[in-house]
Amino acid sequence: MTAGHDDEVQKIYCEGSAEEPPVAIDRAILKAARESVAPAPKPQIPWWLRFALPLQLAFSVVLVAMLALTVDRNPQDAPALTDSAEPRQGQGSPANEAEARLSAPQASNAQARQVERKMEAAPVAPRVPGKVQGDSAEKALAGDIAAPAGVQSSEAASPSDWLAAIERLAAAGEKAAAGVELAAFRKAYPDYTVPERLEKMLTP
Amino acid sequence: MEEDARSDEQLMLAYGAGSAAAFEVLYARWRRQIYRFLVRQCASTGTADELYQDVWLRVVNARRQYTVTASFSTWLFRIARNRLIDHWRSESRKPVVEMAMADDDEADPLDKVAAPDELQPEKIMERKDRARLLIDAVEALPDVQREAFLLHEEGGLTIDEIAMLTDVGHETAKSRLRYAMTRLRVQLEECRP
Repeated sequence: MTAGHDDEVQKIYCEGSAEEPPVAIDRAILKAARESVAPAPKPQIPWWLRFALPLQLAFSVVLVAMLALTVDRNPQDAPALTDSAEPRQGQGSPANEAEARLSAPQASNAQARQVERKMEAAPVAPRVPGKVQGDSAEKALAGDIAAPAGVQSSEAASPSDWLAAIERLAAAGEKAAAGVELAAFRKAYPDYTVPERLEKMLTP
Repeated sequence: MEEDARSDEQLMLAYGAGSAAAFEVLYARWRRQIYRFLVRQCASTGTADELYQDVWLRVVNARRQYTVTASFSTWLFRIARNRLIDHWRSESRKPVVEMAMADDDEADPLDKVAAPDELQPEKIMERKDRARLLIDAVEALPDVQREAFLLHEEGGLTIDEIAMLTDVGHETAKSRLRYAMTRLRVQLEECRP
């Protein structure tokens, strides 16, 4: 047993060892090795979903810009709404104010009933195109005074008719109700001169 | 293609870290040796192919657990050997580990080996035929000797590595390898014209 003999055995063995694994197996093993270290595939996302966020942002920007331009180009829209809303709350025709007072909780029920009765008994003042009404309308159009919405209404009574109704009320002995109505009249028409006769009738 | 200067262990660690290229280098280095180790010990090439693929897939799956506790070749041939033993068990064949006891007590192992007809000296005249004869002689070796011879020749393992891999002592591994070499050398001498 010598090393030389062992070397001969090894040499002949190497010459006779030509076996190799099949190529298909090589490929399968290498493929498995590559897949084992490959990153996990990302879930497939439709192309349009990738643009969802940018599209939403762009849409929001466009929407805000359009709203801003609309408000900027029509600045009177908002004040007009405010102007039209205010008279509905604070000012109105005598009839409307009377109705509002009737529904107001602070008004006494008895007084409210009396006022209601008188207002129903009183004929609805026809719309007479008088000078005062014409003046008020002209002033309102000119913007000198803020005419109450009730006066501008076609069904509203004129100041003179209102004063005549108050005078009839005072003459009927309902001085308290007449006083209330007169106060409302003065509030609605602060520049209108109340006849001295009516003031004397209501003076205690 | 330029040779990769990294050691087998470094390549395996690189593969465990995610480098598929490192595995390809490693595979190219050891594919023939592992295949021949299996093909010499299996009854059919088809079985060897199946085991061969399974061995490498085990390497792939064990890439994260790999640590350098021994040489890569020892680790790789341990996987191949374990797979082979599993195969033998499933085939109801006695594994080589159970034949270890009687091996060292063999008085003359050559007495128990019947020379195949192909080894008759008069039929072997050329070198190619001698190589074929030697291969056949290797395949005719007792399991433990063949295993020791293949681990030494194909895996390049030392006596100590063979002993560690086969769970036997140093002297036992050395004896197995010596008997295998003697038998093969005798076969070659008998066939020499």
